[in-house]
Amino acid sequence: MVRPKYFFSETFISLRRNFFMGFTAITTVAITLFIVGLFSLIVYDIQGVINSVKSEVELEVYLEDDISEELRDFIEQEVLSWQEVDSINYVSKEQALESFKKQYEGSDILKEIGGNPLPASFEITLKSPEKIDRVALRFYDKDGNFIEGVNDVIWGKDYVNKLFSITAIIGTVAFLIIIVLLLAAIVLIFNTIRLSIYSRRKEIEVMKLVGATNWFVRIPFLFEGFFEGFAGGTVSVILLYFIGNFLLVKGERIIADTMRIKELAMIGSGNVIFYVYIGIVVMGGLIGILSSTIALRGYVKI
Amino acid sequence: MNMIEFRDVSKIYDDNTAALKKINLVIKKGEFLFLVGPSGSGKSTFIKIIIKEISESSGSVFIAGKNICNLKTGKIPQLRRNVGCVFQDFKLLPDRTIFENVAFALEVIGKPGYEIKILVPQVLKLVGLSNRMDSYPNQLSGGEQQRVSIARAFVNRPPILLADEPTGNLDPTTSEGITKILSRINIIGTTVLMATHDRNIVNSMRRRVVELEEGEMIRDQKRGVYGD
Repeated sequence: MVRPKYFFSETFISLRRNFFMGFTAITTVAITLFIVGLFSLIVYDIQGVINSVKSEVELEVYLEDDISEELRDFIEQEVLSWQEVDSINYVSKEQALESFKKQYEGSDILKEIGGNPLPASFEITLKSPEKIDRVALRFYDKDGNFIEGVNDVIWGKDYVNKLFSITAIIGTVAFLIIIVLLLAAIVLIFNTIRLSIYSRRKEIEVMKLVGATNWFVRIPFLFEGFFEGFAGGTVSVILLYFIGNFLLVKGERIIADTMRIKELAMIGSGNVIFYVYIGIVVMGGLIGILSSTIALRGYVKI
Repeated sequence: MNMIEFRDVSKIYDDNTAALKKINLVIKKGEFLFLVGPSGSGKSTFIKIIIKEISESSGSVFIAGKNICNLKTGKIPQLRRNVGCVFQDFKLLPDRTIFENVAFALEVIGKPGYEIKILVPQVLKLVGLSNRMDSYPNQLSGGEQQRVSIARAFVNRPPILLADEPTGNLDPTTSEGITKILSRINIIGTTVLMATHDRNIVNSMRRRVVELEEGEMIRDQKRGVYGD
């Protein structure tokens, strides 16, 4: 009793009749899923930024100019024995000046510097960057002063933390927007299906009268819902491909520039985007089937 | 063979009105039966129970020997394929031609196209509408529309045909034509049950008459007339 031709023609007759409703539903699904896709790519992207930043996270411990060599060695050995620490590198006053000069080559600032105001320091890299706070605090004593021989401790806590909280905010906002839009999409498809059930109530009545099975009556409506969701998903993938990518690449460049990170080529690294696209189309179809199933519940019954 | 059998069937609607009260009735294969009585006497309820559009409140209903009281929802379509139904308001689909309207009944039960092409013209010939196959319902007279509706109910050759006030909207001459077609279908061996309050038709046919009044069966007559 499989008659695909019948179901397809019924589905498209119905879509044509309720063109405006169907169009609205498809558009809503498209917008919803576009935002879903865009935000997942953004969150994924920021995650990438965080990871690449994380690996660069290091702690700089500036030393007093008059620190004794014994104390310096002691601190170095002590730090190396900490679990979280990956490496420690001593930068002398001279080396610091050298790299400073390199960085500001040709700038007027060099002329104003007399002598060497720069302190010697330890550059400490960590195995687990999120524990950077805990490590940094070890250079303070109970009263909040630096331990002996240490002048200052600098770590990129602000900017790491900011990144973490930005992702969290974006994630939450996106999640809320997506939920609202998803509901809107479901309601709209639900309405189009209800409408086409209504506009075809005579057919349905006759179908039941002559002994059509429930599924036979329902399938065209399920197809209709599926088609609307699927079409919406496809449109949103097209939007994502053209608009989303463009926006993300721009955004990446801005992030990369402000953070002085040279390369951030997360987007365009193929697979993830592909999966996001597939996921969106599948989601579209599922939304459609879900909505029409709800619309058919209790409605098309013998 | 008993085609339709009611045993102590009562139907009480949710608002406590008793539409049928302890009905006992046997309709044999090939019979033609008039179900008469004024509006609200329970005729429609009687028919709706047979096609399982509603369920009886108590008692048992047998169709072709099978008790349909506890019929599963999934089996109802099968029952309906064996019971053709005609109504006062025709229930034709206005955006489909006569041919398509009749074919629709076969399409939705999964009959293949080649069978449809044979069966539909056959049944339209039976009801005398061979020349109107490509017309739309609104281009037909009331009597012609009712004939289409009969053709649709009968195209699948069900052993039982129910007609609920089929001539309710038609003038006497046209009504006679409709009854003749039902009679013709009965002669081929179909059990026909026609609910009506059309006195002339009942009196002219002299068939079995069952009369309902406020849900009670007050008469069952072999070669009956409408009554006083």
